[in-house]
Amino acid sequence: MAIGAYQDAQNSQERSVERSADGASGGAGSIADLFPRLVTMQRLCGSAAFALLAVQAHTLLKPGQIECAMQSAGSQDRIDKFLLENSEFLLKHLFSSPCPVIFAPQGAAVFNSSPATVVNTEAGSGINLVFPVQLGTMGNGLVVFLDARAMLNNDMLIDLHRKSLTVMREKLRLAFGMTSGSENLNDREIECLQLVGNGMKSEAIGEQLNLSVHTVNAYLGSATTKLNAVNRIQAIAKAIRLGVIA
Amino acid sequence: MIARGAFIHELEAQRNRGHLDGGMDLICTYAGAKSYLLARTDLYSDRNHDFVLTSNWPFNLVRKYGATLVDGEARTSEVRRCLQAFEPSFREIDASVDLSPEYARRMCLIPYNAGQARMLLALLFDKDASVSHDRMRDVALATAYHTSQFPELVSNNYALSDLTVREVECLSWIGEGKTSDEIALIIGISRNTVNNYITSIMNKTGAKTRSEAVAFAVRQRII
Repeated sequence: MAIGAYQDAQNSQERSVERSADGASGGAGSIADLFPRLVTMQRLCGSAAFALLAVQAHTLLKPGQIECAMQSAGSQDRIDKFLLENSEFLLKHLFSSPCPVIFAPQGAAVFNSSPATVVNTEAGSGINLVFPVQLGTMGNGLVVFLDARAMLNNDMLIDLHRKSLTVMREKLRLAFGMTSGSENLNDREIECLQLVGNGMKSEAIGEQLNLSVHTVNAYLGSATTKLNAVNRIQAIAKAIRLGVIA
Repeated sequence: MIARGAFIHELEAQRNRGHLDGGMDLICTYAGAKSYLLARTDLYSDRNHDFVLTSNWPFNLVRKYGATLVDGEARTSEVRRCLQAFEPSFREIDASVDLSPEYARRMCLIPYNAGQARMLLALLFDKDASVSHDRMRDVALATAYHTSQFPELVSNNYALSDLTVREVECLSWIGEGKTSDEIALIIGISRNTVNNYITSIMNKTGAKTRSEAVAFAVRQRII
């Protein structure tokens, strides 16, 4: 997939999930909701197979362990083979560096000046991408894309890495039965909430942000819904507790 | 406004030249921030300010706020901390803090993990700056990429091997909520020996209580 195709894929994705920051239109209700997000990411990098791997940290008492939590259909063998060859390296990398890893055959046209760690593989093999996510003592894992055909660039890497973080975070949140909300607020909603929290009226906010008062109220309404609050006052309280606004 | 791809590219160049502060300045520019404070939340101590790694905050603010921020971060529950990792949040600056009027009285806090280190990036903004939540998420990852390349920032100062296998064993049982008597029964040694191990652990880790020692061990991934 060339750059043009990548941009097309990104545009269509932006059309389908307008309001979300990281392709996360509303919090995931079950672990299965993470699957379409991974498919979207897979399309972005034109990859043949993906896997969401959960990782138990290595401690003095227990060795680290990689477990496949989710994978694209029919890719079991490829993922197993990839893990068999690389799990030791990946475990070490996850707990020593936050940077993405690109597995590419020697001499392949991998772009310069990238924060990614590049691992040379044998000639003729495809390009594999790995995004490490280390949230803390739990919620650690790797998001893997095998045989990525898209033209790689830094913008795409950080985009995919952000989406990987969101997926792992949602997975952890689901494990603890927590609902999200704050994550899906967009900049405008946050801005309006902040200003209402500062004591401004909708009219004044509209004037300051060059918006109609109805638009401001619409933003506040959608923010209230997203935060699962009954009114805008509760929405402000929730947003402050969540650290979304100051 | 600098584009994201170009920002990551330029940051990489700073890193290759070994310019930590140059990279941090660039991150500030991308974030639209005025100044930054970078701290280790896993090295918090009330005795000194070593946990502040690099900063161009006004010094009085570092003295007044640095400890509060990092301490607050260290006290958050573990699940919450994991859910907040790489996720920007905003906090009002206390009215008692003397801050030059050109600054906005709210800061952005971004906790993240790099290697074995738990870090916190705190950004201050111009009074009239408009701050994009979306950009802060880029900043979280970019800062992690950048700082992870400076081993002096993210290395683990505590050699895990300082603790003996027996000590780690005791520590992991304490972490499971067992008492000294129970541990003695489980691993078949005397209660006093268990207590000796625990005293030795507390000496080595500089912890004042058992709970602190366990918290330390969990954060350092020893147990």
